[in-house]
Amino acid sequence: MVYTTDGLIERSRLQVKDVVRDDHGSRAIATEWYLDGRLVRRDVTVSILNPASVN
Amino acid sequence: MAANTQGLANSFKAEVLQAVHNLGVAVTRVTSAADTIKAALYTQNQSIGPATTAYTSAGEVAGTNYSAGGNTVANAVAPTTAGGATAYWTPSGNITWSTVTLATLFDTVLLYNASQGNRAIGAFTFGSQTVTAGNFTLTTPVNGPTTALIQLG
Repeated sequence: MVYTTDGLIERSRLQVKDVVRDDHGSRAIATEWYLDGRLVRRDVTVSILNPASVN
Repeated sequence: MAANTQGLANSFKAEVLQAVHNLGVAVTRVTSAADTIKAALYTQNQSIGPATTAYTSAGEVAGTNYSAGGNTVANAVAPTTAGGATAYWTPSGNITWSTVTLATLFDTVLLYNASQGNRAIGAFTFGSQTVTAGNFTLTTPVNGPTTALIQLG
């Protein structure tokens, strides 16, 4: 079961798509969950690639 | 033959991050424990950046299960130089907002010191995102002299 905007939905009913985006010194991986073509959940993981530095 | 060299002490850089030195007006500390560091998220097209001096609620994201002020950052590893020339620090764990809905595009996280008047530490930007009934996770880099989130070289 996966928590969505429609409540808990069986995993097998959902279509999943990963979207990878490199931007602004970062990498983002978004996992989008669709129910009958409608977005019902979106998770995002961001990795910061550029540190804040003083040299 | 050895020669003398000019430069900031490497140890000083790490000690600055640990508030060992006070070259100005003394800050009163009520504890020797590490400060509480927090992370707040901001919608795109705000003015959060190096000129930001403290946490502000202006432009902060809002949504289901997101609390104003953001989340506390894990801080279990003290700043260090590890014997090298660069002092560095990284949160000791990922920063996660669970089961949130953030419908307005956001692209910045501000680290700030909640123990010292919410003074800003640094702003970090990324490609703008939304989150729907899901988790938003900032993964922290390896805590090393060339990879850490904050580096004083």
